[in-house]
Amino acid sequence: MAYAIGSDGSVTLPSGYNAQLNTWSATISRTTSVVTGFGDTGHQRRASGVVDITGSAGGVPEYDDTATIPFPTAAGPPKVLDDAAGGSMTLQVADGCTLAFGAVFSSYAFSVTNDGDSTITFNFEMNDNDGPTVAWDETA
Amino acid sequence: MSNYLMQGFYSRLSADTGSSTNPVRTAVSDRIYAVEAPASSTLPLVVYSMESPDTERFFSGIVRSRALFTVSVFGKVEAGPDAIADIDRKVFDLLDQQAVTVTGHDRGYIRGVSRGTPIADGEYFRSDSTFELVATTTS
Repeated sequence: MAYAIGSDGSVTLPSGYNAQLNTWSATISRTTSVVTGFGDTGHQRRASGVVDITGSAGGVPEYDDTATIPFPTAAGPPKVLDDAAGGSMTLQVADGCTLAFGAVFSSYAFSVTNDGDSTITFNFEMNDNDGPTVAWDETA
Repeated sequence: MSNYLMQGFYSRLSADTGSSTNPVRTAVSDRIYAVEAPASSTLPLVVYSMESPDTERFFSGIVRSRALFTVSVFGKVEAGPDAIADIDRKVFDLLDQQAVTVTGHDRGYIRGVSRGTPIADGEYFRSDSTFELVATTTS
């Protein structure tokens, strides 16, 4: 057994999305409903069969090379965003331990500080009718 | 890796900005030393030193280093604080917001963090300025 550390992780963004990343976070969630009835003295809940993932991946924008633009754009001109389709992405916790799913991007957060850093955060939401494909290495 | 940062920083401090020299080298007659000046050195002189660089890792294995450099200008008391302040200004003008070559990195970028103020320190005046050098490995 090995305990995962942050540098075991990685993010594979969909084709057309680019940045030098060093952090990601994701929340896998289900809607739950309270089905408590008369006479119950504690809440009963049911979890939906529909799973969702939302999260973000952050790092540093790249430039001055080929294929470094953070998100897809039309060939142009004008070079407008052409990113609505999203694509397949993979979040890795460690070698062989991944979540793979289709995603769309709800927002990109840029931050540039003159005497500090330049960062970009991709905020994604799952777009996958059967949820994420989970791999987890249990061979050790 | 930190060696490369030191080399990159010194390359700018000693850069030729015209006439095979630069205003700082001219002001201190090329007396620019790393970490410590030789005993009984002639004044004025410049000493620069680096603090341990912070590193930031990316998933690709690339590492961004951020090192702080202190550049100290030493001068004779009898030359007065203005003389030291003048050299300190030349140091700032030479280093602030400058891209430098750092081996194995995309580039090094130097920017001023704090400006020095002349202070009397025994038999000499001294002024310390700090600079940050940021560089990211290319692989």
